[in-house]
Amino acid sequence: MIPDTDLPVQTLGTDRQREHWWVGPETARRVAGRTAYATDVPPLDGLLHGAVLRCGVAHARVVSLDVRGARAMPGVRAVVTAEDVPGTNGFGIVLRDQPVLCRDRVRFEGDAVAAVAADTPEQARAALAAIEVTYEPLPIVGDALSAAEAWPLHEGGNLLAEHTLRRGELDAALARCALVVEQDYRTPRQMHAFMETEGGVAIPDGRGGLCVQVGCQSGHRDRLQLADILGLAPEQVTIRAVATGGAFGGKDELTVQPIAGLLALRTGRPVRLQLDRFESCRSGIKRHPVVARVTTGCDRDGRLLAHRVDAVLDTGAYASLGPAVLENYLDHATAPLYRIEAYQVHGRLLYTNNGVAGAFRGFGGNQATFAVESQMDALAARLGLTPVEFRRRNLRRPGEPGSRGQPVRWTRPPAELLHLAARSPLWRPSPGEDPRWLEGTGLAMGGQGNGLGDGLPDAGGGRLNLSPEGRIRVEFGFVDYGQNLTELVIRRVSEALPCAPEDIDVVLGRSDGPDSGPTSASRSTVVVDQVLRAVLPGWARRLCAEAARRAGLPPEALVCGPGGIWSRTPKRRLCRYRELAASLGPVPAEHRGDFPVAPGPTPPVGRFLQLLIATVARVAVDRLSGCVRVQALHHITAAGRVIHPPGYLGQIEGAAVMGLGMTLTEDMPTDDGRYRFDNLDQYLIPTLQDAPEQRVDVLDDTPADADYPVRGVGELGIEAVAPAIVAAIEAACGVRVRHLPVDPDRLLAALRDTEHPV
Amino acid sequence: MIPTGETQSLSFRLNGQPLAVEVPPATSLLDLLRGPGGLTSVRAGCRIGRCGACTVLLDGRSVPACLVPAWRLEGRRVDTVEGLARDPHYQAVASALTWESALQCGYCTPGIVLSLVSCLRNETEPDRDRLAEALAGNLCRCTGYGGLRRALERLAPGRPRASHFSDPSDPTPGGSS
Amino acid sequence: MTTAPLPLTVTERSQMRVLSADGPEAAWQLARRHRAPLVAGATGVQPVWERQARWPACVVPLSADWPGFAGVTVTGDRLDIGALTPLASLAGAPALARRLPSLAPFMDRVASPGVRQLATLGGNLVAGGDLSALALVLEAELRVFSGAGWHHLPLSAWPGWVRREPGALIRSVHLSIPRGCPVVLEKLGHRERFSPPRITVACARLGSDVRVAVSGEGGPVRLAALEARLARAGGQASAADGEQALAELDWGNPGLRAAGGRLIAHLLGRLTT
Repeated sequence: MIPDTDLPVQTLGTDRQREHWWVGPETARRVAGRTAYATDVPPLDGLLHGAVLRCGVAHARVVSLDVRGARAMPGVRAVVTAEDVPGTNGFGIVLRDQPVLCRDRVRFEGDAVAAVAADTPEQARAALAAIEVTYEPLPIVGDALSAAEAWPLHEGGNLLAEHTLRRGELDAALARCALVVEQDYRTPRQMHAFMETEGGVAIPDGRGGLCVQVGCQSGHRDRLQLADILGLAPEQVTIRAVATGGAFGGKDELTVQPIAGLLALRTGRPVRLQLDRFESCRSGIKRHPVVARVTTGCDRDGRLLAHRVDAVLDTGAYASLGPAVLENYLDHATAPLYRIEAYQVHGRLLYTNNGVAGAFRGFGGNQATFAVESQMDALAARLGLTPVEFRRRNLRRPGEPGSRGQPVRWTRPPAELLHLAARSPLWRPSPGEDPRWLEGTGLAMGGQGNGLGDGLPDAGGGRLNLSPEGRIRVEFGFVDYGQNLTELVIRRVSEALPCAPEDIDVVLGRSDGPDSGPTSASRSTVVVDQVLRAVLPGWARRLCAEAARRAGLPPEALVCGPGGIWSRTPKRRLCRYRELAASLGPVPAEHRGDFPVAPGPTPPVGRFLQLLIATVARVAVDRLSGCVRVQALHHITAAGRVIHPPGYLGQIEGAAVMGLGMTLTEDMPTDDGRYRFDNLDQYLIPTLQDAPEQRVDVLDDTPADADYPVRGVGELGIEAVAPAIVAAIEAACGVRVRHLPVDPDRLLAALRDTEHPV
Repeated sequence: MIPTGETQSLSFRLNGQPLAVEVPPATSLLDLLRGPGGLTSVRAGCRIGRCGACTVLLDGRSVPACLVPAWRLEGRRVDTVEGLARDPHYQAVASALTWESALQCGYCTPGIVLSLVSCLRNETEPDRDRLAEALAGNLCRCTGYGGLRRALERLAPGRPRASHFSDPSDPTPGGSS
Repeated sequence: MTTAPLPLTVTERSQMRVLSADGPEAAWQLARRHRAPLVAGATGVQPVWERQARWPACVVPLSADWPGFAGVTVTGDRLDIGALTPLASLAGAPALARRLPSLAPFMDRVASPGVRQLATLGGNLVAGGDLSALALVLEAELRVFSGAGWHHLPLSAWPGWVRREPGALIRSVHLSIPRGCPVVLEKLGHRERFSPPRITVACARLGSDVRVAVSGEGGPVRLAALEARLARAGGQASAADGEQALAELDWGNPGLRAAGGRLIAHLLGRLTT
């Protein structure tokens, strides 16, 4: 038993915690609608409008393509096809297997075959209608489970990747199990549904190169891919990532950049390309649907002995980040929080004609955790143990290696999170129950790592400077698509330097600025912290030294402060940053470092910096309809220090509701390879009334000078939501759901079977 | 040649100023505001009235601008956040949302602000429940609506809401932690 | 009446023409002549057109300024509601709130607050929307104009249920709600708010008469067979009875019918308590 009073827990956002609450200037700008997004039409002379002809068929040979009619249409300045791609006609972060413009074959309905730039959007659309394409249908590969034997979509067949993680002797361990549970799990093809669809503008620089202002997640990586496609040197391509209305992984891959760039180079004029929601739904990437059979066994005392996973991930027509998602899926499928004697975790990644799947918050991990945590509950129930007690007997302890034998760094013991989850107020039965609604509470745990992991090149840097106007300019390559990154940087710099928030300009997302690595894998917060800790003290000393020289005082007597340099005693400002800028000129300081990996000589496996979450869900199931209402979610997190409370809280809450959507309503099914839905009247994400009351308790006492005091929490909140909700549903009505999203009709049918005969 | 439909002379008040335009009559108010209106706070998310990102006030009540065709606009009054700086309801909403950091990417936020302003203006008892109902058509994909809920508490203070976390035996708000 | 066929659709919104009329009769004539749809709030049709990227070559808007087309008038038990009354006004109308206390909370689940400002009662009924089950149990009558001139038509006979053509133009909706006549209704969607309807059930009791209607995935329909059974069974029915009534009409899919049956039985129970 762990006594509560000894645990360093704080509830984010409560009155007691408000002294750390801080909201910066960017938030007010966004409330007032003054932030400019990629969607806004820039005031550029000669701006053209692009439009893309997408094939609209799941799989076909392109027999003929005639764009002559379109070229003759009014206002049309360029029509491009595969013939016009000067460099590599392919993109993809892992494999460049997705054509910018398809030449002779299309593999999903969103495949592009031609594009137009015209004076007005209407003229561009009219020109698309004048393009004549003949397709010869090919057999549709619509089911990942049988895709390996089906018509090959790429050279080498439809099995894009296959991988197995092993530990111990599985068969021997299985043979010793007193109890084995085998179940099938399915998770949906979730759509990111960012509020701002993909878009941007490509602007020729007049010297053969171009600048692309776009909503994206990695300016530097986009630049390399784009230069290859356009046949340019990387230096000729600049990416400006503008404020972006949500991404969640859905803008990690290239979106409009290649075609907009091609059209801009073709016409020598700026070209704007903005997908509408219909086009975004049909051509944008989705979350990988996963079908898995999971076999887990334990001994008589509930100690886990054996665990086997066979999973199939549907990556759709192209690889995008699929192979990396498979790796992370498998990593999470090893049940990293639990000690298991032997496991064999096997996954296959298959090409199909079902759209394209790629990066999405959680990155395969939450799909795996859904199955793993459900198995824990199943074993606990069969043994007659509570879900808490069963987990308690199997959780790893700090200091133990991770599930793959690798060193891991947690900030608190997993058992403490479990203990707090077990004490959640959500377990109290609610008074005055309405007989119509069956209420229940469930819990699940999840772990997640920061960084790209597995020893992949993962460097990140940032830069600090003093502008001629005396502004403290902080630059990172990251993109702010809504993670409060600008606020986080302002807060961190203003506290550590220190200075006033108003002294700081944060500049993000420029490929000609510092390369921070991709804005993904929950890595930005860690990199920002690493860079600022490396450069801020020395930079402050340089400013103080100059101020000391001017004032004829010893540098130790001076400190940075609001508006300029101050003397310690008496506390007063000696000179403004503007004056220092005049005498010092620029004061650049840059740091670039590798993302933290485990120390030691062995090549890194998995991820070193680890985060933990326990989520407790309380639900009500409608006896009449099988509908599920999530009433409350209680999260306990251990992810290092909280730098910016509103950001931390918002990330956990937002990811959790995204996970709730995946659990209850969100799926993008395909019919013969075509998505069934194409807008937000059909694809239903949670509204405010679907979102539960939430509480986020942070368990942490990491000192500020620890090696790795902070973690990125952008993905943590989605990790354990789905299994917690289905556990609560089972507690409420006795039915365990293993196919997501929960189908109310099927739940009602199962509910009827459990009821006494009517 | 694209056969162009007829255009219509249209005048309405935008943020207190008269605006006269000559546009095809089926032009959506969303395109009117982002085009001739020169505003960027009104944002396209779905163009079929299902996301709320283009919410504006039409004669003082919140509507999705993408579903308002120009032919319905003659003589009417349209307001967006750009024109509300001095409106007390706007100020209350903006400060509550800002303080609670009730947004992340912010793309949906001006629409949310206007739905709340509309509720405060027009509802006889704009309590927390009515304010929450006013947001039923404003999708936010980033926040999970937590900050918004906290902002509503600020906008309509009153008895603490019945909470799944509060313990009748624990006097501290939010229960023990 | 025959007119030269016009191109019915265009591919850009900007090419669409709007034909204005001074009054309902002229609007009806214009719509006939140009094979143009009559539109009220147009919140239902614009998304369809946007999705298809095909717009009617012309439309004829109806006007709330025409006499009788908007607003709620009460005469005794009788309510006359203009077809162009926005849905938002229904929830707030005191005359309706007094007679139909279940309406206001129900309206929160119809579309969204913004859409309710634009969408109209007539448009909702023509599309078989959320309010049609309620209107069916209240035996709503429509005041319509068509080739046969002005006349009344029971909602259940409205041809728009089967083919949405400019066959008739609705001016107003008429219902009578006797004092003390309990009405209960509930919508089941895919999510808590702003959801396409799966099933909406409305039940009303007028004296010994119990009426039940549904709308949603299987379309709006009065459950006459179930009502007959209720008349024999003192107003009560089991979930199985409700489910069977839906099945006999081949309404919706079996899973939804199971939920519908339970909802019907539940609402009938509330009607008597």
